[in-house]
Amino acid sequence: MEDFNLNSVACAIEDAPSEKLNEEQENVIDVTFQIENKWEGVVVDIDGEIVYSKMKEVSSGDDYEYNFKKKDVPSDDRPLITEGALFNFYSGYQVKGKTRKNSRIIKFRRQLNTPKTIDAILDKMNAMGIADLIEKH
Amino acid sequence: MLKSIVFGGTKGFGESILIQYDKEKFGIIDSFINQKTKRPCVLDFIEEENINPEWIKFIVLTHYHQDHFTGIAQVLSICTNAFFYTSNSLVSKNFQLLIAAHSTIESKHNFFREFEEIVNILKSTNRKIKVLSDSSKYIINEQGIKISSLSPNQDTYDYLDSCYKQAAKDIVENNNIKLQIGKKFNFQSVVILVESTETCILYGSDLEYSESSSEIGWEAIIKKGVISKIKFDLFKIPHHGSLNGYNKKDWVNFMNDGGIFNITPYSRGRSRLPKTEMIKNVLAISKEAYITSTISYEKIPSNLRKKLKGLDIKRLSNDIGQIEVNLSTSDLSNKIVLKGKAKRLAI
Repeated sequence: MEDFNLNSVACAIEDAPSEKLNEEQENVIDVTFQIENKWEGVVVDIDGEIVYSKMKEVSSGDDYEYNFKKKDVPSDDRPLITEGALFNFYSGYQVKGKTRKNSRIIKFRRQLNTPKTIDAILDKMNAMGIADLIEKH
Repeated sequence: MLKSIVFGGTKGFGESILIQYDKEKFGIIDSFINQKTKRPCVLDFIEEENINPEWIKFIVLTHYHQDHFTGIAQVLSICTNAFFYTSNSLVSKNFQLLIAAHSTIESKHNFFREFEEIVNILKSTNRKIKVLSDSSKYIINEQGIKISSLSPNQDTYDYLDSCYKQAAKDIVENNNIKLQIGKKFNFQSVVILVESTETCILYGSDLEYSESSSEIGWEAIIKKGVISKIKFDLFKIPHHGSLNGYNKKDWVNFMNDGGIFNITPYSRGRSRLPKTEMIKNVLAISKEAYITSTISYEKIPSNLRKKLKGLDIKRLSNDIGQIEVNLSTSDLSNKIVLKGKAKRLAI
């Protein structure tokens, strides 16, 4: 993973899926990251510092295996690296001033789970009505 | 008539079985998606072979792992004559809570959403979830063919329910939702026994031997004694040939002379199945052993190669292999037909 202001950029990208950072963000970090490809990944295995994942390329649906080191992940995201954790992986290029170079970003997803969500889950469970479908054979 | 077709994918992820037990009568066990056609592999086959979907009489989902259930909802929507069967441990309240909780996660990897689709299809077509256990009635019992489930038993149901309860508690109390594969889910597995007057088949799903209890898993089936006097002509090896699905003494007892093993591969993280040790174990019992494919990779598309240079990243191949075994013939040249990437098991 290339060494640049990854945390700021990664967080900005999470908030700006329109593929380009907005003007205000650009002024703050003076870097833009243009997304060309996106993968959705899930951690399937961890062995010490090595993280094993499976990823799906969003446009083609192709499956990939991607193994990386925890240190390749922005420090803010490292506590999120557990088996089953979801992340997005982007490839594209960063533009800083007049310089443009290929780059990649990995960004782990945070699960927001409020009490409201729990109520929604229980409601959803009841609404699914699985119990009515069960027939002992 | 008795024919078995086992499908598997070269990406080491996917297992599905089609059984033909009469001219116009079939059953499906599990499903996975062919990434090339974006459809369940078994549906592609049915279409290619001009099999009328109405001839599919039953669909069994053996357990809730992604490599066994993707596309089951689609199969149900096409095969509207089929009864739907699954493991008793997939209908407990705590499992339903897990399903509902995980269905809130937006992700292409969210395998829990399929269950909701299954439920919706069943509701819209006025069908039920028929629950299988070690004491269920026959799935099929006609014209000399008996198809039944050998698992799970009540102890397994109780054991899994306590696992689900803990996971559900974790969600509610600790706000902890992850798309974590349920490693214990293999104990949900419905093992299928097919008996005819001439031959017997054992489909092992992903069932394992338990390290902690002889009351669940394979030992529970062996203890019950239903299969103790049966010799199998075909055994679909459980759990892609993992060592925790294997017991030498039991497997030797299972197999008829010249009995055939079928296996599908598996790849996840550091785990690649079957390992060399297991292949040796299998071949020591019978040389008639076949695998739907080995795990393989494809070139990364040229437009991505430069962008991904220097990373430990591989693109998985999306080919399919299938092992057809015609158990009604003694003609060896027609008995086993390998298609796609299927091959003899070898070290």
